[in-house]
Amino acid sequence: MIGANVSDSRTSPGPASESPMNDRLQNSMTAVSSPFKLSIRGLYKAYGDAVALERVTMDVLTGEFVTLLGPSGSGKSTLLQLICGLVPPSGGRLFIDGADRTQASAAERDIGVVFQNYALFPHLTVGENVAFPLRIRGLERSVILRRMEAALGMVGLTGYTERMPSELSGGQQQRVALARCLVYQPSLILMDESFSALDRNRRLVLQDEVRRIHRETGTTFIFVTHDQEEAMTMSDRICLMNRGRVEQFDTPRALYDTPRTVFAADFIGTSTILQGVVRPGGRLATPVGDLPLPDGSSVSAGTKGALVLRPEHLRLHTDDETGLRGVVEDVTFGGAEQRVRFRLGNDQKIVVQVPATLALSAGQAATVRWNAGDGHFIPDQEA
Amino acid sequence: MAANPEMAGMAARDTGKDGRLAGAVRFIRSRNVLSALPVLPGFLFLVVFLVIPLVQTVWSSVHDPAGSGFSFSAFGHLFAVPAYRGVLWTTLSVALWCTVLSAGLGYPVAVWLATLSEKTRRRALFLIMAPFWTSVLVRNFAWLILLGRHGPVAALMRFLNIPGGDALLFNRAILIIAMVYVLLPMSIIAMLPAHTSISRELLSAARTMGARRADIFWRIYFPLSLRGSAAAALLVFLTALGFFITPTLLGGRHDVLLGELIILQIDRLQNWHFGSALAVVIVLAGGIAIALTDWFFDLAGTRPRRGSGGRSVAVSGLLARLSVSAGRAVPGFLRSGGWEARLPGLCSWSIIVFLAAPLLAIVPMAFTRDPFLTFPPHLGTFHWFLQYLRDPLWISATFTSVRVGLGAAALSVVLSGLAAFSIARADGRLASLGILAFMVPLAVPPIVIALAQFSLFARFSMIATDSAIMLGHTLLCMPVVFTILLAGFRSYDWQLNQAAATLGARGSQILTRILLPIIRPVLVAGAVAAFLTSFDELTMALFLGGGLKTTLPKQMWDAVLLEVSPLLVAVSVVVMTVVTLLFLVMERALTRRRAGGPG
Repeated sequence: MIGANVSDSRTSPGPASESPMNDRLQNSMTAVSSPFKLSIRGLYKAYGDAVALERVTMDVLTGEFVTLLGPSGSGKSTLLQLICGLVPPSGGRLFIDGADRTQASAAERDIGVVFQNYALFPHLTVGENVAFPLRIRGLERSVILRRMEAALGMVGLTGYTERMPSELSGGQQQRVALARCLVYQPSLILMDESFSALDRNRRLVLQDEVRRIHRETGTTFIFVTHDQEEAMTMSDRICLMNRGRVEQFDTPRALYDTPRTVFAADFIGTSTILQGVVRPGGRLATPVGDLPLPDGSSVSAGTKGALVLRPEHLRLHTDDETGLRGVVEDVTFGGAEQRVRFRLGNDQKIVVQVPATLALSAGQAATVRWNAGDGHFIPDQEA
Repeated sequence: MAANPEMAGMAARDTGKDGRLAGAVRFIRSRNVLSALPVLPGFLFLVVFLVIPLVQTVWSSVHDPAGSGFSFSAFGHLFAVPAYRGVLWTTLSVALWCTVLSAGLGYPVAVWLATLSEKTRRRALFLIMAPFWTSVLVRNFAWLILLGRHGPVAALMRFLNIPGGDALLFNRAILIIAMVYVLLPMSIIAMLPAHTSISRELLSAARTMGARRADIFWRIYFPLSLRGSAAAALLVFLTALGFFITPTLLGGRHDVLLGELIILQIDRLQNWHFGSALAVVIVLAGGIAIALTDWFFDLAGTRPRRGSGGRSVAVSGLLARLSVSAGRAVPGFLRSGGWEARLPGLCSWSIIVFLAAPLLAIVPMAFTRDPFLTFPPHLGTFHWFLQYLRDPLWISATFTSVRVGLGAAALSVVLSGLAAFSIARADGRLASLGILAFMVPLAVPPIVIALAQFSLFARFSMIATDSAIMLGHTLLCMPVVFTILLAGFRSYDWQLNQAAATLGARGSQILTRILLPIIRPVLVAGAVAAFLTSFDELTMALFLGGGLKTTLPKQMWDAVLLEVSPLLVAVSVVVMTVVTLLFLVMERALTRRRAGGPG
């Protein structure tokens, strides 16, 4: 991604050393119109001694679809609330369209938020709910009516104006919440775990619709989820979070192919992670033996790190003695391919994807091989 | 840097002294302090109208009016004179009897109510709540009519040739029955939340593990419901301690309770020193009861499980074994019929009939053509109702009650509402303390509060004013309103406010367009509950009215002491009608809120 300023808390400098960069950024941003919808500089949140979110610095491009992904307690919802302005930050700054909005209230930020449990007003009809932000802005009655109906049409709920929220299904309530955001055309829409309460089919349909609305409106979206599949399919970029820190902020492909931390490798997709120390010859010494490192990884000897192997890069051979020897432990059928849990000599498990045509059974001896270039090496990061 | 106070505060933290200042600024800016502000008015009200008067009462109980300084002579007097000792003993034993009976009869009803669906439960509860909101005076009065010398029961007994029909009233047994009649609905209502909050899944889970019905009840249900039920029993005991209406109207010559003694000392003998001492004794007895209950049942639920849990688990294990063997002794045909399952339902319906029947039975007598109450009455006239409407004394008393009730309702909704609003969003120890503070008026019998407030209002020459009675009633209404509003604010989805804020609404717009419309039914219910509490209240009116200002209950009290007349029955019917209508309004408000409909 062009101009993507990626940094995580461990490498980000403290407030004092950060300020020159801040000033420069701020000057450039106020001078010319910013390509960034949202810029965050050292934003963090602590409740007493408990740090909910360590310092985050990131930029989101205008019109981008960004997902905050992470397990529960990773700080993604805290970050979202800081962006909304619903929670005051403990420090750092936040810019929207290049203007400092750190102290602005939620109402002043020109944002729309779709809450996890929709937060529809139970005493208002669907139409009144959607019209609410327009009424607040004191628009003319006819304009309100027209835009309200257009917004409901966009989410496929034409004709539901007079219904009460409690009469709708979860998916329909979700659409109303989205329409209520779209109706006043905020340039940034935030969605907090919005699909987590829906069943799988409804979720897929709504994912498609949100992407369509994103394309049609050009609105910048920030989407929070703990579902990596959802994040992968919907996002331009994913901000992977863990324990109140940003692990990696990258495109889905980069996150999958070149994870920068063991957590990222483990969280995104299935992988086998083998820890070890780099030998002088350029191979990694692991408990299962010396393994080849990917081409071009010029890692100095003595470096500790992890080799990440994706199931689809591994090959299983039953008629060949070269490679790592082991035993098939379990086979799961998955349509075109099957996943094999393979046990190496010292109990190390390794997941391999093989064609469904290959006949395998538990207890069968085999060997596993891969092209050295398909592996991905992550050196340990000393804090 | 300096442009950002947050950053400045952070940088300063490392430099010690300035850091502390910045910390203080942060503390004030953090909403903890600001959000506690709405609690203040209600809290101040409690201090001025409850704490200070109580301290004053304690003070005057240990100070000889002759001016000889500290003296515990009043307490010595109480324990030295056998008659007074007798009153103390009678009060404690009657209160204990009432507690045991109300809790014992209330428990199966609560068990049964908890098994019903939400909708059916509300209907059944109506039959229990309606007597609860009906004036205590009317409820005592019903017994006077039904069991009186010329009442229907006496007539029936004469007809069946059973002797003793003319001596049904004025003894210990009828006193306790009538008090239980008044206290039972309160006991059930206070107990119910502890029962409905027990997850039905737990019981199913126990069944899948092979537990018998008796095991499920004694080992799972009973221990889980114990704490809440004990709290309800405590509330009954505290209320019973201060009773004086029932013993005065229905008690025998020897059944004098502390409450009556206080009235006697203050009203007839003007002995404030001794009266205060009696009030202090009631409060002390209540305090000891609270401490004992808390020690045994861990009311706050803060102690580690092992202590009290061990005790009650051992007890319920024993009960389980006992009832399993008792169950075996029951003939097989009874057991197969599932009689155990129907028992709570049967009990509950009998109790509901017991609660409703006396009130319904007196209604026809308001239409009697006889000049006195006799049985059977000759029905067919509105004469007594017209007499009520024509009598300026009754009408002015009615209007006084309405005025006082409206004032108390408005004030208590504002004070308790503000407090509930901020406490609902807080949690932790401070919030629990706040809740406790607003519940304190429940733990002190109204007669003690009335006595304590008398000297406060006397100092400002406010005795015998509407305002004094209204302020006194407000204090009694506050816990009731607070409970209703706290539940309302707790169930409010505060994220709606955030949602409205992100949609561009300002604070005032969020208040008027979102919070208030959604919470309005709860405010209405709270106001109605407060009005009903005040409309029915006699004790405060008796004291703070100074014998001059007459509310409707006071007027009824004066009338009943004079003569039990058909006019009084007619007034009772009017009161019952008003109360039932208002109660229906309250119920409607609350159910509509639950349905979440637009209105």
